[in-house]
Amino acid sequence: VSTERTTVVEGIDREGLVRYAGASGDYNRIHWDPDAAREAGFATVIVQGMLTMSRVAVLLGAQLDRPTDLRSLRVRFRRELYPGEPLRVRATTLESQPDVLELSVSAEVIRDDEVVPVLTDGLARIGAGDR
Amino acid sequence: VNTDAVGKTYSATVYEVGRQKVVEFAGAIGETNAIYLDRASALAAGYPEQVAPFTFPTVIMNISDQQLIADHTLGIDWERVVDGEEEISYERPIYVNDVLRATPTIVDMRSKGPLDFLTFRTDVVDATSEDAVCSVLATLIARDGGGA
Repeated sequence: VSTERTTVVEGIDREGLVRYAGASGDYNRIHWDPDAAREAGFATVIVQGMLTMSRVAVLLGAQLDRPTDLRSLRVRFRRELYPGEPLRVRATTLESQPDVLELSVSAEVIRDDEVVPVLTDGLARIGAGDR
Repeated sequence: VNTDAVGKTYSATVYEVGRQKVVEFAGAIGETNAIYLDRASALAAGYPEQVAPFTFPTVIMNISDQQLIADHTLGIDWERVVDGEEEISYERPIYVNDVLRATPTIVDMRSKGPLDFLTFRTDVVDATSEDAVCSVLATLIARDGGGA
């Protein structure tokens, strides 16, 4: 029986983008310079894909007894995420065995009354046990 | 794009995992579990040291990726590059004071219409024991619109 859990991650403000840029070393202008972002075809600065993935990994880890049991996570970056947009993260159990759990993961926002996919084709593997 | 580059391996980047860097990164991604924030909490939870967050390899890759960006033989327009896909897989957690070696290898390059796709794997090993720590498979897209 598959179970689904939906969690809303609150929007990340521009200061959060700048903070992540500095902490990660990703200085791509489209994440802090609105002119550069517009030139690249976006409405304004966009959230770093890896920051979005990080928020999902934090969320998945927080649901585990040992967060380091999250062994792998794959995501596809489908559409951009803008500062302040709440992200709806969906995790569905695909396979559950004694020592491994597989979850399908996706994330979306509501923008202009439409559901916009931000992360798709996500797959998380969770394995228990000592390492 | 230059598909002859498939299989090309770049030089290893040696990276020492610093305690304050881990705290800074954890704060920037909204991580609040104390195993990522201080050593004592990590020890109390049964870890040998303060743990680096799951996506921490990104910090190392923002250094090791510079070799790909500087490689003009790839034929990628880096001004138009966005993340397409990312997969991080762990053999063991990354800990503060780890000395790691990250080595990128191009695994696939293709063009589809106006889009160029570059897939590369970064293998991260413990520089002392040579044991595998994690690997990151990333696909970048050089494009005209869409993606993040």
